[in-house]
Amino acid sequence: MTLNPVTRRRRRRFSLASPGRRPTTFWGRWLQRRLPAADEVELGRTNLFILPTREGALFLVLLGIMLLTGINYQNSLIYLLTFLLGAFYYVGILQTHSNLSGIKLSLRNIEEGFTGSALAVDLQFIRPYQTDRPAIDLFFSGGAAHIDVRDEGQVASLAFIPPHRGAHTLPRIRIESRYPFGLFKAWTYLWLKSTALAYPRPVEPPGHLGSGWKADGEDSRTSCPNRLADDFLLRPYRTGDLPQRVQWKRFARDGQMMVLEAESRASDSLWLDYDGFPGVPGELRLSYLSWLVESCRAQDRPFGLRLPGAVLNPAAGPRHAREAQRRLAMFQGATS
Amino acid sequence: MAGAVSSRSAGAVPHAVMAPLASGFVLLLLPQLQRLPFWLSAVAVLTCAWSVGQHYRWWRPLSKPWRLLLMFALVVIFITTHVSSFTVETAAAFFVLTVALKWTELERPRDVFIMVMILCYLAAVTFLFEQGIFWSLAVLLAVLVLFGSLRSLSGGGAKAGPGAWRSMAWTLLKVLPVVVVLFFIFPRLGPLWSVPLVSEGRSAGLSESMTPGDFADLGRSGERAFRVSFGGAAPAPSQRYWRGLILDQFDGQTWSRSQQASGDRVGRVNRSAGIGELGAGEYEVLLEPSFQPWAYALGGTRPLTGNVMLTEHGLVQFSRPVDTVVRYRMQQSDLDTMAPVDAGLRARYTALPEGFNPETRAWAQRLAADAASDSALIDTLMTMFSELPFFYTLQPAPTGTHSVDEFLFQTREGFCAHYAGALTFALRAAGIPARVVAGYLGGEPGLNNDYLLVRQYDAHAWVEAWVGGPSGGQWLRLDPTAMVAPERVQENWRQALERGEGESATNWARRDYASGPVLDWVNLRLDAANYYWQRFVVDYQGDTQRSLFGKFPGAPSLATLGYWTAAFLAGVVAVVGLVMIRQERTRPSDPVMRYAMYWYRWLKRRNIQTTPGQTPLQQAELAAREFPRHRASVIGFARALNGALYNPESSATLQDLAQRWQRLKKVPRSAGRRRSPSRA
Repeated sequence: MTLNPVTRRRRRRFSLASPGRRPTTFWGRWLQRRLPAADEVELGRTNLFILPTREGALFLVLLGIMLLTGINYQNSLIYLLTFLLGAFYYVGILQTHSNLSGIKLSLRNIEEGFTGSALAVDLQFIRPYQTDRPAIDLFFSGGAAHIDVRDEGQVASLAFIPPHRGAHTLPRIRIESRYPFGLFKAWTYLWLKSTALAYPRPVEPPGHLGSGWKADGEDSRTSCPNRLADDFLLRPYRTGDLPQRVQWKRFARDGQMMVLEAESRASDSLWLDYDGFPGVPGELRLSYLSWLVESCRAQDRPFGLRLPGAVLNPAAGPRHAREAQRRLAMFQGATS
Repeated sequence: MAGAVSSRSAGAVPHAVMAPLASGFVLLLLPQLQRLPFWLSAVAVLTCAWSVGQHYRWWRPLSKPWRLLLMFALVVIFITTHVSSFTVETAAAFFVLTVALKWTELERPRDVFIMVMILCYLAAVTFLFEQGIFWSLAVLLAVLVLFGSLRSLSGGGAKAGPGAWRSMAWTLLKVLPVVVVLFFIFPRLGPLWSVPLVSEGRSAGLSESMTPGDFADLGRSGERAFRVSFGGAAPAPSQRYWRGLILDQFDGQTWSRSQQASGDRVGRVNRSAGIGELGAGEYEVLLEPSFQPWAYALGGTRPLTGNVMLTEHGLVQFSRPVDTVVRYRMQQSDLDTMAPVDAGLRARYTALPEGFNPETRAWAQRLAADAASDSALIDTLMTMFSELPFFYTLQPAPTGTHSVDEFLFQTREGFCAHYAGALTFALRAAGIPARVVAGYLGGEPGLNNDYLLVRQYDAHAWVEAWVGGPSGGQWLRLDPTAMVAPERVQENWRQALERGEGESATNWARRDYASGPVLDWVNLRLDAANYYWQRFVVDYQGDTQRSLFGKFPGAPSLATLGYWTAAFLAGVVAVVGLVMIRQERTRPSDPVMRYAMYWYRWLKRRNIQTTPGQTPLQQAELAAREFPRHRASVIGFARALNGALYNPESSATLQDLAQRWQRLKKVPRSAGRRRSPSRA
């Protein structure tokens, strides 16, 4: 049931404080003081707001007109009807508020994933007492969800689409209910303390780059193209490298100073190296690496990751891949 | 886990909304039916049905051009048929038309909101015209149903069905005391501006003129005219002459009210007690809307309430047409309320049109010459009505130009209008000032004899004649009908007809007066319910409120009542707020703690003595001794609670606790105590 489809207008109107940034307006600061970031929140008097909806305001006007009619025609029954509707109006305030009040709301999980794809943000609702809490709506810059809390611990999922890699403070979540009569809306904002981690958007490295790094005779269709040889890895020259290790043949061919480094670990593992993509902007390198990590994970091949200032030793498995992606996501020194 | 979450599909009206919305509308339409033109009611029902059908996709919605065309056509029809007059009544009918048109574009939830709001206002409009207890309750029910549809609209799926209605009823019960108090203390202001409620042409009951046929129509109507309660004993049936208006002008066919008579006012009577116990010699009339300004009163009484005025003829009037149920209070008065006849008035009350009824004129003048005095002449005339073969009938033979001549000397059959008209004509012809009085005669007792019920078929006409010399005299009430058909005076027409006298052969009498002991019994009670509803609820207005609160110390003014209202509302808000804060505080937010609280409450309600420091299991042992039959559920719950409270690795889940609690709740409160003595 929809009373209130998410509209862009509404979202824009309420962007008092954008999360992660210090709010500049008075109301933004007040709101952030009032509703501090948290992963668990109990809705109640201190953090719920309630105001009439547009329909509720109209209804008040209607009550005024009805009262005026009653006065003008000296009609007792119209008075009675007006008071009755007014009482229902008032009851609406209480019921709408108590539909949310007392609910315990906690963050269950934030999915990690790639930049640009939807990440699920799971919120758990624990209702107090045996009462149903129907018609609770969640709004989020990424979307909306509707939930009727009937059982203990019901979960609502929202989708968050990270715009770029790295840790994201989530946009605030608006939790709203207009039940029972739609004359009032009770709402609160939730700023999650936890952040969502977005991996770099995976981009397949172009073939000619990859093929250049391979040892002679290596099949160019190998899935992990960063591999050079079983025991060696090609990397760009760094000051201090022994001159005899420089691949002079290659230098003569395409002018890149590459150094052959002895592989000391498991013969089957690969090294994915940030420095393996000379001349490529840093963010794109991370995207290439992300793609490579994914493809290695998919083939369950062990790999190591070298980033400037950090090394992840070779290993295999999803956990390792996630760790690699996290490092890529959090990597700070990307050059432009 | 995310199964409960559904994405919102924008713009659809949920199914659960349609049924209450449509039934609320039909319920609100019913009281309007008799006021609305037939085509309008039909259109309203059709558009509503159409809308429901298109909601369930039985047929396609009307496209916008068709809707516009329909709207245009209906508005044009309405305006052309109602162009002659614009009153609140036609405005209300137009309002129904707009509601009907709104049904054709009920697509989005927002439309439902607008629909509910205009229907709420339609409910208020209905109250302008219908104030009986049954329609009032129907309208209130309709409003509840409409709010039910709002609940479904804003996501009441959780509680659809009987549970939803039970909770609505519960809400109603909770707010009712507040509404009632507010109803009594809210200051009743005077009208801010005045718009006539109904078109001029509409009227009920007596009219300003009396052509004999009119009264026969009234005689067929069993509708209520007014109800009277007396402070002391009600007067004898033969004294219940409710004077309404004076018809003093005769044009040969019709007796009517002259212009001079209508404008005479004696002055306003001061406001006085409108409610409270009626004193001896006081009575109170609850008048149904007649759309005429006049009121009905016994001779020799004057008004106590300020809403009516006494005219110089001893009649009572409102300042504007009575378009709603009104109440006024009258008091016996020793003073003669009827103005004496001076020279000017004598001319008015003896005036007769030339060229009509020559026979009667000659006859009356002959009698006048023979009679010793006016009184003797009146006696002669009255005796003539009882001795000559006059017949009382509601269906007399039609008469021609000289209606009085034909009636007196040929047909000799008729009813009160004929007799009163003929006698007045004869008296005037003989030089005695006389006038026809139209009003009601009689009244049957309501439930427990609390009040008299006067119906339209009690309408009556009689004669007042001025007897006296130049020094003084008095108005004398003469009822020639009583001489012809005394039972008409002693009882009412209906009873007279039922006894087989007069008009018993005609079928309409029995059919319209709905007789039979069971039906009478029911009718009497329904009427009584309506009477008290109208007396204490509908009629609770300015005067009534003032006099009710006049008994309070300091006699609060309207402004004071306004302060009281504000204070009362603030009090309600404060109390409700405090209660809610308290509830919030005592409600543990942790679900396990909540069950622990339930557990202690459960123990306390069953009078199981526990000491601090006992674990739930120890307490359960005590409880199980009291409730041996429920041992399993008691111990089971306590064990689950114990686990949830003290053992983090416990397998007891909240669901398990909830289920066990449901079982525990079923343990009766006093089973143990009642059972143990019987076993011992």
